Amino acid sequence: MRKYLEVTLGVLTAIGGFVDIGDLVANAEVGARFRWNLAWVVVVGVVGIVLFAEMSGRVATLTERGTFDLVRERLGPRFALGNLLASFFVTFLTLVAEVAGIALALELATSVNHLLLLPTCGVLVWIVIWKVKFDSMERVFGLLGLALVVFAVAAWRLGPDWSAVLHQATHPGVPDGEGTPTYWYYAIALFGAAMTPYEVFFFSSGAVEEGWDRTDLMVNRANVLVGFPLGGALSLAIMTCAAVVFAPRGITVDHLSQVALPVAATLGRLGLVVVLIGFFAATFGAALETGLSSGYTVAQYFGWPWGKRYRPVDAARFHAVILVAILLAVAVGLTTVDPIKVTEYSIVFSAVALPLTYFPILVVANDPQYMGDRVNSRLTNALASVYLVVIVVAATAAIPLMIATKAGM
Amino acid sequence: MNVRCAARRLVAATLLGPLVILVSCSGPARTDASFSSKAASTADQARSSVETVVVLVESADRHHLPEPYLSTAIAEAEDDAGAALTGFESVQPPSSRSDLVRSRTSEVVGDAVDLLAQARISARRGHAPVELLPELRRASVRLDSLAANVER
Repeated sequence: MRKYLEVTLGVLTAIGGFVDIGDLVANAEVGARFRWNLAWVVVVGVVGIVLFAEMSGRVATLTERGTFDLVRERLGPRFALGNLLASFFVTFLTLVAEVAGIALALELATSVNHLLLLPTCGVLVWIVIWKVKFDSMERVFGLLGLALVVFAVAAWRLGPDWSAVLHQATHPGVPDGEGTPTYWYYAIALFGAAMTPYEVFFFSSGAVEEGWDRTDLMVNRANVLVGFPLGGALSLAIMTCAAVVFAPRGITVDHLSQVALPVAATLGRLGLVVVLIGFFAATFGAALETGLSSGYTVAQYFGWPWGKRYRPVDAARFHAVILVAILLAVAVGLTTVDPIKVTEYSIVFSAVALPLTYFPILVVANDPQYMGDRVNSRLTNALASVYLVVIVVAATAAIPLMIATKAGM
Repeated sequence: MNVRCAARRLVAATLLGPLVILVSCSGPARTDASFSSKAASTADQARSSVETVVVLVESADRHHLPEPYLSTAIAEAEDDAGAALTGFESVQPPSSRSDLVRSRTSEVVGDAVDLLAQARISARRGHAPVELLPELRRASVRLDSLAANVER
């Protein structure tokens, strides 16, 4: 039983990475505007994050050290600092959006304005990080986040023409009324959403928190092969619901309330309750992930004690970074900035920053000094090299496309 | 902090700020064609909000959806349509020909925003505004027609 529950790290990572507040809205928006013409990007993203997280988890499991600790040692402090700054910026933006996302999910259930709920949500996130054990946190929010499987149920109940869905997904094109630059902008955004750096920091640091060692390499693999495809499947289910309900009516998606609507329209009150629980769990899980990742990245770079496995007094600077990040995130949220816009920008910046994180992991995963006989196989390296090219192309094109399309408008 | 470090930080902040502004601001309309295009886009955005409320109200009627969700979602749709109208009305028409486009768009979109406000008020009182469905559907058709015709 314990072995089965160990995949909950991968499930939580995937829930927080694939269906956080920005992904929830982005997947629905893509479904509403492009139907299934961008489904292939989700598949490409899933394969990419499986590859990336497996390498990163294997590195952490064998070395029992954090990502930034190794990157600084292997590639030098200046490169690692650049990586840290870029990754921390993207992670912080996402933290801002996730804490606000928790408040938005609660607003849908209570009609209390999310700005009034925001400080409380920040406090709750901090209390859970401070007090709740890592494995308890991962199991509760990972399993609660599975409530989002309700989208798959709704998609099935909506009964689209599955042969047409498959045809469109396998023969993608730019729909009438949409421009090619906008199509590729959303392709990069979906790809960036699947391969956010904080997912990898959280997953690999979580492996150390869980005390994985050489004997847990199969657990590492099981986590990535179960968790991330599950996240990808949820993304496709959300996309399908939006494509069936919104696309024929020309509805564009900008709010979490709209994301829930296909489920409410198909499954009624019970479906709506389940999806709101899923929203809460997913955004809370993502807030935990990004909050902890903030601490992991900074502490690992500077060589401070880090992690929930230590008593807070023994990892004081790690917890201080997390506390400051959450406080700042709440403060930024209270400026009434649109959290969905914030996370949509963070997804694109994620794509820009991705090469800085991916390349060092690839280097370390091939270094026998760290990995022993568990360096990347030829197949893994071949696939990883292809993805390195894809990532660099996406990173280069992201900002120009964002400007040219006015962020997809 | 040395001068080089400070300069790098300043450059980063200088680049990031305008980037966000570049992608989020709506520019002026220098020609009648671009003004008409903005009018069509405004009508499309308002129509998206109206259709969202149509789906919400139909679902609420069928499934008795809870008031907090219904009222929050309708209010968001109303805010979006209102913001689209405000944004459009802040754009200077480039010619007197565009004045006609502006007044027609303001009238149709404004009516839609009023209808959405009525729906929001009704939902906040705990009542799904089912009686507004025929008017909402008519508003959607008018907005669709406006978007299609204004660019001709």
